Amino acid sequence: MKAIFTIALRELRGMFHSPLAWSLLAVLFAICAYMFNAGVLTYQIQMVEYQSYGMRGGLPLTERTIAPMLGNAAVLLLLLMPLLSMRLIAEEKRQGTWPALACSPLSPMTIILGKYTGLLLFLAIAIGLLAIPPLTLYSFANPDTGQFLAGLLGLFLTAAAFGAVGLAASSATENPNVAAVISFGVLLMLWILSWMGNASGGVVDKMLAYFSLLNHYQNFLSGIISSADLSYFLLLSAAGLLFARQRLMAERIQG
Amino acid sequence: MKTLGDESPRPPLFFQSLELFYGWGITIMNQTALAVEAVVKTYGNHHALNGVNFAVPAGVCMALLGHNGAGKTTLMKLLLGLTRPTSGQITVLGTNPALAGPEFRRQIGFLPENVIFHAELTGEETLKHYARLKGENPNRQNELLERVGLAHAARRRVKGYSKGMRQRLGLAQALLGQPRLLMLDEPTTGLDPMLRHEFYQVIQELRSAGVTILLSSHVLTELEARTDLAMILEHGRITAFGTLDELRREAALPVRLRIRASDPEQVMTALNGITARQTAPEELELTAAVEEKMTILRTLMASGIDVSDIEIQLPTLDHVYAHFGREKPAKEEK
Repeated sequence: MKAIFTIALRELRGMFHSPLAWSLLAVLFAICAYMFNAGVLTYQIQMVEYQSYGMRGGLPLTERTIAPMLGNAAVLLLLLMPLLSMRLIAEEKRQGTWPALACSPLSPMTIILGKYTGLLLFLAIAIGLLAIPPLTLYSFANPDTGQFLAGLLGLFLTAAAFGAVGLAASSATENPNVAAVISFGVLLMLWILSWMGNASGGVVDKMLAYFSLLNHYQNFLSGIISSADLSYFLLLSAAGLLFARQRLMAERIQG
Repeated sequence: MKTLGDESPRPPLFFQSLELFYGWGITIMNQTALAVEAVVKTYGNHHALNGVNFAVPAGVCMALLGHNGAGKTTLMKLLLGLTRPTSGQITVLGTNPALAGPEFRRQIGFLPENVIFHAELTGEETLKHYARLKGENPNRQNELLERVGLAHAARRRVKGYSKGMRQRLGLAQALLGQPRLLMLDEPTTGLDPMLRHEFYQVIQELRSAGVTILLSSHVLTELEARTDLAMILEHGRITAFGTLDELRREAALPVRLRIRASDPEQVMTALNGITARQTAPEELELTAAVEEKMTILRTLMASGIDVSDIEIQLPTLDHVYAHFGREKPAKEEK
């Protein structure tokens, strides 16, 4: 356990010592804050229009401002996470820092968990930053806190699954760029899996819908936390980590 | 149990190097640090190692020699448990390294060739980091940095280190946790002569403390006086293994004698039948088989010739290496 946190903290420190992590955070925050502001302004215009038609009540604030921002944040993370996760193992191998770690008395799983925990800590910081713009809403409105928190949890789980897939890709190659491309390709495929709609029909359609990242994430954005969605993200993350572990074990066998 | 002075028959060639221990009075039972038996390692159709057999007693410093691609790094990876042999058996410190747990790895220090550390950490932080991973006391780093001559740069980031400083930090990292076996792959690359000298002093101290050391280097001259055993690998096979004296004997390389005498002609006459070459007005150079060396010296002493100096040059590790390197294709032709 101690070793996992030692690796995680070094990983986190390494990320913040590289301009990549800072620029990722800056880009993510700037774009999300812009989208959030655009959402709030659009909401205000829509509310004026809505009320000008003499309609009662109001439009759902959280669903029209926070949920779209978090939805877009996930798309941005889909693009950016491969850039971050590609470093985890492939970059170490390319730079030559890997042998010292590989020869330490740690099991491949401890190394994997350490690196993944480091990535999760970075994601927690990133998602903490993304929570700032929606929090400003509380000063002049009453967003749905439950839906907001469910959305943040969903974003964290989605990004964590992205990270696990990225880590698996990073373990499969010594070239970080190839790792980024593989990870991006797999994530995009998982994201758009349900686009086939009902065209395939029957069981295949249900399977595609189940494996689609988007479907599970959308439930969180709607404020629904279901065990099916939670287990989907946990299973996807576990699959990524196990794949990475198997790769490292295979390296020890094949050399 | 075999101990000093044991009159048991000469051990087979495979274990001849254990004789070193007779002289040092160390019990040899259960003292084999590395045992490699019929190890083959293939990558596709390429045989990186092809039937390698050897055993190294504990507390010995062994030089691992060979051209690039001879199989040295593969052998080190196998001994570290970073890869498994295609066939054959490896025992390191009494354990199969490929199946060994953390306790085994704690007893091994490894310095990879061209070691690289995380650039954002200082030397001190780097050692603390690896000490934590090894489950060792992270506060020993100052002592280790002092030992490898890096105390002055302990708080400097590794990215500002020269190659030599990185190598020394690598050695400090390998020494974490007082390992019983140390594997050093090209450890002196990038070190200036003074630092090399200091490096070998550390190695000498470790050797005296009973640490088994496996050292791979291309700089043969610096290994010659500092290693107990040498192993030469060629195309994944061992072409020579033993102490330097054993290898010299096996190679039967000639000794070179440089004789300074007021009358070289007289010396040539006295050494009738041995080809000598006059290299200076009062200097002769000749090569002879090792066993002829004493006969030549006795002849010169008995002849009464005015000899002012005799310089005897034994075959160096360079010569031995060149010999066994050349021998391989000949064996293959046979």
